[in-house]
Amino acid sequence: MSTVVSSTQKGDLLEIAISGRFDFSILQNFRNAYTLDISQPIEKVIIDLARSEHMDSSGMGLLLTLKKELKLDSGCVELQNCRPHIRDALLAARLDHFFKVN
Amino acid sequence: MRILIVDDLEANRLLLSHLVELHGHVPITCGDAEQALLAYETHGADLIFMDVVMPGVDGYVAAKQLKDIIGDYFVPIIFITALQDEDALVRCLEFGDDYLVRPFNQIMFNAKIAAHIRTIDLHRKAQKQHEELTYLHTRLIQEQEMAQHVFDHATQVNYQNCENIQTYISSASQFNGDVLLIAKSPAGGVYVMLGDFTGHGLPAALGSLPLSQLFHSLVVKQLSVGDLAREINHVLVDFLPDYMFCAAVIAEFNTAGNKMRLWSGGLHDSLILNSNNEVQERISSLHMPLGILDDEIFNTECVEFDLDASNKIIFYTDGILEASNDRGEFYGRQRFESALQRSHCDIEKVRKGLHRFTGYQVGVSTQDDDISLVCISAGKVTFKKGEDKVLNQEAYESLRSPVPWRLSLDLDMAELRLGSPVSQIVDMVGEATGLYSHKPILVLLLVELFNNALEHGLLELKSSLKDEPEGLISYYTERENRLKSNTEGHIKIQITHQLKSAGGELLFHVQDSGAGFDYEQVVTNTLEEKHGRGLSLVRQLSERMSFSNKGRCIDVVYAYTND
Repeated sequence: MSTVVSSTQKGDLLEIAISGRFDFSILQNFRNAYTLDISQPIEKVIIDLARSEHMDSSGMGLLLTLKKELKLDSGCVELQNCRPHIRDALLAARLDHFFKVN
Repeated sequence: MRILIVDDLEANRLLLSHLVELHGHVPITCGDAEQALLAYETHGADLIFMDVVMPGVDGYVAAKQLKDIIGDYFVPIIFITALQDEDALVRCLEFGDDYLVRPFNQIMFNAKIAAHIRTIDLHRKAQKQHEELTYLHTRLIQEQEMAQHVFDHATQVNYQNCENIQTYISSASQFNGDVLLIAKSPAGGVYVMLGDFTGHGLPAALGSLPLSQLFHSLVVKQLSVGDLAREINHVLVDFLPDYMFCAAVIAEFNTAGNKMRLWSGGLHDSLILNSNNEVQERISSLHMPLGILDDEIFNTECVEFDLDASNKIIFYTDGILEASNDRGEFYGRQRFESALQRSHCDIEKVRKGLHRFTGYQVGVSTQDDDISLVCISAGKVTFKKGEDKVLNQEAYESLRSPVPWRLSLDLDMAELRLGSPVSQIVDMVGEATGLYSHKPILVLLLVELFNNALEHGLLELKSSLKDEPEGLISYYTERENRLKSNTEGHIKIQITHQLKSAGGELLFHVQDSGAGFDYEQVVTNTLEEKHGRGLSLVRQLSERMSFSNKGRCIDVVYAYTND
C-alpha cells in the first residue's frame, strides 16, 4: 500500500495528513506538500499521523528537514494522532524537543 | 404417428391402411394377435386399431396382452367391430379405449383419430411434466441433504458441554430458523445466545450460518454482550434481505454464575425463576431485533442482574407459546410457566408435557414454528471435561507456547535490489513467537538496522551528504544509483529467539560486507544531531547494542516479558 500525502493551507497554517508508511520513500511527495502552491509564508504546521502505521528515522529526518527548510521554531510543528508506538519512537529519539507530539 | 392395424381380413387391413395414410400417418398391419405383439415390440405404436372377431386369439384377449407389454405408456386401442349388441360394446371399452362400428364412413374414422391424438398429446405432456417433477424433486432432496450436512456442521455447538444449561430444540421443518449458540468465555463464564430469524425453514436457517461463525469468533475476544450485539447486527444488516431480521437475546454469565449481563432485542420476555421455580422477574426486550438498525443508531445498552444460586433463567422463542393442539388452542404463557414450575424446570418433562398437549408425537397435529427453550441454572459455571470438540482458546495458547529458534538470511546485491525484506521478516518473527503486539517496534528496529547496514555499510553513503541544500534528495538519489550499480556485497541478518523465565529475548545480528565505520563516534552522537539518529533510536528501544568487526557487525538485544 503506497503512502498518500495530502495538505491544505489555511492562512499561515499548513495541515499535512500522512496515510501509510512515513519514511524516505515519501520524500518527494512530502517536500511538495510544503513547497508547492504555497500562497503565503507558513508559520505553523500540523501533521496528522492518524493513518500512518510506521515511522522510522528516515521519516524523522523528513520532519527535521521540513522544520529547517521552513525556518520554523521548535513548537511550531505539531504531530497529531500518533499511534502509541510512533509516539514512543518520537520520544525515544527526543524529537519532542523540536515538535509538539500530541 | 405410427398406427398398428390388427385384422384377419386382408381387405379390411388394406382399407384401414389407406385411410391412415391419407391422414398422414404410418400404418403397420398384422393379421393376428401374435403378429401384433411382435410388431409392437419391434416398431412400437402410438394408436392401435383392433378387430374383435379373429380366428384363434380374439381382439379382447389380444388387447389385454398388448396392454400388458405397453405398461405405463398411453397407447389407445380402438376396436373395430360389426357387433352391435350392448354387451360386446361394453367389453370393447373394458379391454380397449374406444370402438368404431362397421360399417363406418371416412369422416367418422378421421374424427376418431383426431380425438385420440388430442388425448395422446395431452397424456404425453402430462407424462413429461411428471418426469420433470420427479427429477426436480429428487434433486431438491439431494440438495437439502447436502445443505443439512453443511448446517449441522457449521452451527454445531456443544450444548451438552456446559453443565448449567438444559435445552429443548425442535424445528418445524428440516432446517431450523432458531439458533442457539453457547460458548465458554475466555474468562471462565459462559455466553448464551438465542436467536429467532423471521420465518422458518431453509430461508430462515440461512442466517444462522454467518451468525454462528461470527459469534464464536467474537466470544474469544471476550466482548461485552452489547458489543457482541452490535457486531452481529452489523453483519446481519449487510447479509440479510430487508424483510428478514433476527430477534435475539444475548447473555453472559460470569464464572461464579451470580451475575448475568443481557442484551435483548425483539424477543418476548426472558424469565428469572426463584427457588420455587416461580417467575421472579420478567425481562422485557429493550431493543429492536438484530439486522435492522444501522450501526450509528444501534443501541448496545444491556441490563445486569445479580443472581442467587437457586435462580434459573429461561430463554425461549415464541414457537412454544404458539404451539397449538387439534382444537386450535395455543399452549400459551400460563400453561408454559406452570409446566416449568411443576416439573421443577426439568426441560425434558416440559417437552413431554407440550407433546401431550399438542399431540405432535401421535401425529394429531404438526409443528408450525421452530421451538427453542433454554434453561440456565445460576451458580458456578461448570463444563464437562473431555467433550470439547471445539479447540478452545486455552488449548490454542498452550499449543502455541514459545520455542527457541534462529532465523538467518544472507542477501546479495541482486536480492537487496528487490526492496526491504523487513516486513516479511517481522511477520515471520511475529508468527513464530506470537509477539504481535511488539510488531511495530520490531519493524522499527529492523528497518534501522537494515538501512544502516545497507546505506552506510554496503553503499558507503555519507550522512554529511544530507547537510547540503537539497541534501536529502541527493542522498536518496545516490542511494538508488549505488544500489543499482554496485555488484559486490551482501548483508547477513540473523535473529535468535531465546526463552527467559518470564518472557524472552530476540537477538539481532546484522553484518555487512562494507568497509566498516567509526562506530565510537556515531554512538557518542546525541540525538539532536543530524546524523546517527537511526542507531541512537535502536539503542533507545533495545536492551543492548554493540558493534564488532570495525563496525561491520552490530548486535542488538530486544527483551520482552509475557503479559
